Amino acid sequence: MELVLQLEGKKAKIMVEGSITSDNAYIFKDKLSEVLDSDATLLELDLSACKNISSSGIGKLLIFYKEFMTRDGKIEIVKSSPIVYELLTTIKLDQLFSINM
Amino acid sequence: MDSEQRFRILIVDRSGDAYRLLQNPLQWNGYYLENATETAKALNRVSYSHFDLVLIRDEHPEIDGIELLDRIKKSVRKSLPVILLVDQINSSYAVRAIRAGVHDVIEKPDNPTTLLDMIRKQLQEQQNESARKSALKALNEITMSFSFQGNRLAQPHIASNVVQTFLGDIRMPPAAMSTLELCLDEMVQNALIHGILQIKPDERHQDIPDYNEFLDNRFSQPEMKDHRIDINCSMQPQTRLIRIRVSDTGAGFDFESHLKKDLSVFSLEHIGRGITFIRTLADSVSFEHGGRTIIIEKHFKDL
Repeated sequence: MELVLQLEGKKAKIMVEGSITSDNAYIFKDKLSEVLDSDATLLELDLSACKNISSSGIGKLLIFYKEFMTRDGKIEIVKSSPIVYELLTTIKLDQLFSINM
Repeated sequence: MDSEQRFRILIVDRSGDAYRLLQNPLQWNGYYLENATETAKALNRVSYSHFDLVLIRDEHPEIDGIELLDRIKKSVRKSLPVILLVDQINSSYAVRAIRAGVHDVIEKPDNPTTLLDMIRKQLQEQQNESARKSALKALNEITMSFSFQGNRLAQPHIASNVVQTFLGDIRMPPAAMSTLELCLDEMVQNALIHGILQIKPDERHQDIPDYNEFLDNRFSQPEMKDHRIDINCSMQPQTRLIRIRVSDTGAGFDFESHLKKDLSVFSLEHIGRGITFIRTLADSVSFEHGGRTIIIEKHFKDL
């Protein structure tokens, strides 16, 4: 899995390539921690090259979400692969934030 | 008789240019060839006769290639390979064609050799796929078992290695492979974290270096050698059913409360998210031996 984080003032963008599994979810957590340490209040996630996400990966995102909300942060999944889009909407994650394909 | 003689190709070409370009080389190579000069005639021919491939020379507006492709896929045979032949490919056309189910979009070449090679390749792939499916359907069940000793469970990628070993030679659609990998990853994690190691939520959510040290310590305990996770994968090609069974030697867990959870509302709680994933992705989930064995079943449209 490859992760790229871009920080530009109030906006952070993370691009994920490959699969976020139980084996590598900690790398995702590290990137999210960097966003929390920055001034960002908007996190854009580009999951168009992401093959799938395990519950460990979702767990890291939700822990981040709860902390990010305390500073009025907003998460948006700006792009997702069809498989990931189907997965995230099936587990109703779109009830928490915007998910685009 | 050359085996390729069985292949029947319909060319849809209003002007007849493409038909004339391909007629001799295709017939010399033993293919049966027909030309339809109108959309209606083409639809009639593919509806009432068997063809292995349709090549449409898109000459919009007289012959709208994508519309004809769409009608063939929806009303005649979804699996019938269709190639669109165009003067020039642009990205929006290619996207529309892919969405409608095209097998290939190609620019009209000056000589027929390139086109002939593409047609041969397409038909060969179709023949291989057909042979693979026939061989698969002749089997009642394929099963494979894996066993991991407790002190070896620290190794990564167990789920993807098992799925690749089991299904590596069966070219399943990527989405199906991904779903199975995800389900198995959750099942193995569940067996390991909740079953064998019985890690508490506060232990799981400590900082990464501490958590890794904590896990290393647990895996190095002598009693881990007495634990194991067994995985049994089976596939019934005729019913397109895949069943995965994961058993662990842990203390089990309260699976009944998880099965009562409402899946129509997203929950932020930490506990049981993996089981929620599995319930969402699989067609059925069941437990045995007090939660020490989990069994999922998933039907796939295509294997």
